[in-house]
Amino acid sequence: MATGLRLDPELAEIVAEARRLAAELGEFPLRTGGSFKSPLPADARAIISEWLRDGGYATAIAEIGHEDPELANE
Amino acid sequence: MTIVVDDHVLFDVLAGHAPPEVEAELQVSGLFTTSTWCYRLGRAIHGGGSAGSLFRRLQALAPERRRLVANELRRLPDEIGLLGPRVSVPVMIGLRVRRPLNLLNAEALAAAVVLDAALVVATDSPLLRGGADDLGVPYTLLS
Repeated sequence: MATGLRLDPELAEIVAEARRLAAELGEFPLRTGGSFKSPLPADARAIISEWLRDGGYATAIAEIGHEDPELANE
Repeated sequence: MTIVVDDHVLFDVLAGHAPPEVEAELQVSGLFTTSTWCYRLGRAIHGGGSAGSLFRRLQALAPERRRLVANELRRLPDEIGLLGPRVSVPVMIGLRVRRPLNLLNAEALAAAVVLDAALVVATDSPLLRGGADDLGVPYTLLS
């Protein structure tokens, strides 16, 4: 792992411990990689895709964020 | 590079319509999301309000098919990674960015930092983008 993260020393120490724990718990790296095949039937996938594209999902997310600020994008 | 995706991108993936750049990362490095994004996705799908419109549309399906879809959308597939709170919460607490974070954005940034991953979202969030910039986390908004 070597990107351009900018972490203060205290956070860097916390992150190092979190990575050690994630590995110990088997959360990272992923054991199951590779391609993912949707378990949903094609007609359901088409309906969901339309809901995402026509703004239905965005409207639902905006309503949730309005009700609960901890789940809002802003 | 590992990526952490928002709920919209996750839903695309679950529906079998992963954007090409996400599909590539899914096969090579791994795809993660967060508990809060999963929860928001579930609320949008299964909750009331506008969410009902998805299930109204799914009424076109046979009842057993609707049950299958509802059940499949309640669980996160094993192929998609998720850090647990024992790992992410201490990092969320330790994040220092210019603007105060809510739960959604704090967990997303913590996951990206722990995984040394890029954030890939379909919905822009200036708060998340700003936090990512403060921490040096790559942030990609899909068009």
